[in-house]
Amino acid sequence: MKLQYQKEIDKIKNCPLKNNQGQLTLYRVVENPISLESFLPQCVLLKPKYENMCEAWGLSLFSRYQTAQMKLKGLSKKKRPQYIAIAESSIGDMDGIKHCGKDKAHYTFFPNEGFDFMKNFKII
Amino acid sequence: MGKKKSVPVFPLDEFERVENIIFLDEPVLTHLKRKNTDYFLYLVDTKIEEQLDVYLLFQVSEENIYNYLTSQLSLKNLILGNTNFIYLLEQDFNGIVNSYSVVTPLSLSSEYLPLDDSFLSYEPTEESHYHTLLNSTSYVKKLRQDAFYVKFSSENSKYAETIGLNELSNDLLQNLSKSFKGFLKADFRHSLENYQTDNKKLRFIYNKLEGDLDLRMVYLKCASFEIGLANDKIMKTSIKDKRIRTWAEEVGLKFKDVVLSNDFSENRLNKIIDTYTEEERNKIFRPLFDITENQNFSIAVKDSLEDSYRRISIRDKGVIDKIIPKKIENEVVDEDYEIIQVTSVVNKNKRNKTIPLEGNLFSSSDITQYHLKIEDFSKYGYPIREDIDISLDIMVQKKHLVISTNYEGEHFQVIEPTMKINEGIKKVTAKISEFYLSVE
Repeated sequence: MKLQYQKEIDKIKNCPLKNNQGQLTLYRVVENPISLESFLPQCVLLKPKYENMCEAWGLSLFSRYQTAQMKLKGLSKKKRPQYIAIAESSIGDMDGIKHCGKDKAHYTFFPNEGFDFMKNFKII
Repeated sequence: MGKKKSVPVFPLDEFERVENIIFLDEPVLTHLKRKNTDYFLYLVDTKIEEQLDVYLLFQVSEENIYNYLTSQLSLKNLILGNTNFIYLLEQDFNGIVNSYSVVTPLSLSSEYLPLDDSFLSYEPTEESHYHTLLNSTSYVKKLRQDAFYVKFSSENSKYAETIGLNELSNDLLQNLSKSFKGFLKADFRHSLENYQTDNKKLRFIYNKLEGDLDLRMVYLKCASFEIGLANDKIMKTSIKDKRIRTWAEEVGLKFKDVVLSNDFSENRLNKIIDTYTEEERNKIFRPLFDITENQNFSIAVKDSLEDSYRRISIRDKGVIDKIIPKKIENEVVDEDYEIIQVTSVVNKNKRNKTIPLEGNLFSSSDITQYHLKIEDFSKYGYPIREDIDISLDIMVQKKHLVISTNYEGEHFQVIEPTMKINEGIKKVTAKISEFYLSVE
């Protein structure tokens, strides 16, 4: 199955990254109320400087609620308003590719085309 | 979106990326390195209309990186506690730095700061740059939990509590290490001789173990010199014999309790005397008494970082004689100079002569002299390049040997409680050598 932004991803060497298999509960910082806007890789769409950065074509998810909170607290006051809520989802191998790199708490999620964010993510 | 072509005003390309610490669809906090110096690049604002990202770039120490990654320091305090300037960079969405300014942490807009409790507990995978750092340091942390602490201070008010490098290495650490080495060997035998009765085997086991028994240094603080020492319990799991392993894991703290103690009550004294032979006591306690009886320094010990130091001082000097009987002291005394009363006369050729006073009609003096020459410096391990002849005054004051001299406008003095002249000369040589090297 094709990933979202497959065309852009294909242009980058060794992208997408290795899949960490299995069903995992993961968390994403989102806007409230939740909308599809929260699941667009806004940064890479806005900023050409990231177009060759594989992770930027995926979405940042966290392995624990507390970790997501901790990362939010590390944002500057200016950056924080974009992310005010935390949503939870259970993501399996059929949903796309999820990759854990150097930080055990951080996953980059490359969703399959047609993945239903609004159905799968709930603010907690 | 068209790409702007402009010349970068700040050489951000020269910084090598180490790892993204906070990544939220894009790098938010990134560890960079340039010329062996660590920096954090922190994305603080995105101005969509102007198509600009605003970053703080600031220097950060390895210690602070560790403290931040282990939740001991918040990102906010890491930024505000920075003693260097902070670069405020504006980078366009194409990655070109268009402008930068230099600010101090205090002049930084609060809009660019994270929350007070911006703590992070970073969990590195094996791929992470921090994997070894966080794991090896947690090894140190584990050792630190069971460490004991020794503090050496100078008694010379001229230097506050600070200690000279030569004094530290030659007089203090060397003696502490000698004492521990003596204790290891003696205590190994006494603790395990009933368990392993074959002396040959016991010696073989000890020789095999000895290299791994050294205490690990897990804490260091200067001004006065403080050192935390611990047995490496983690690595000692490789010792298969449980009884020997237990001994090896506990011997450091036992050394602290038995040797680095203030308690020389009769009971304890008798126990020490009953447990260790005279020769063993000499090897264990003589180096310690060389420290405690040296008026230039003090030694103190504590059981944990939070405790207060207890100074080790032997008030009843009879204790020393009981632990190290004179007989032993005499046996191990190396060749030494002796004090003889002399007087100096000047002959017609104006050359000094020293004459023993014994049976002499000249009046006596408590002062004698020694000429410190290039050979003395070499002998004590301080080779110097030029011919030198320094006249040392050697005198006895209040049962202590005082060796002093003036050299190149500086006054040097050593008070030697052991009354051993060559020991005093060695110390004053070290002091002069230190000075000589500093002005060379």
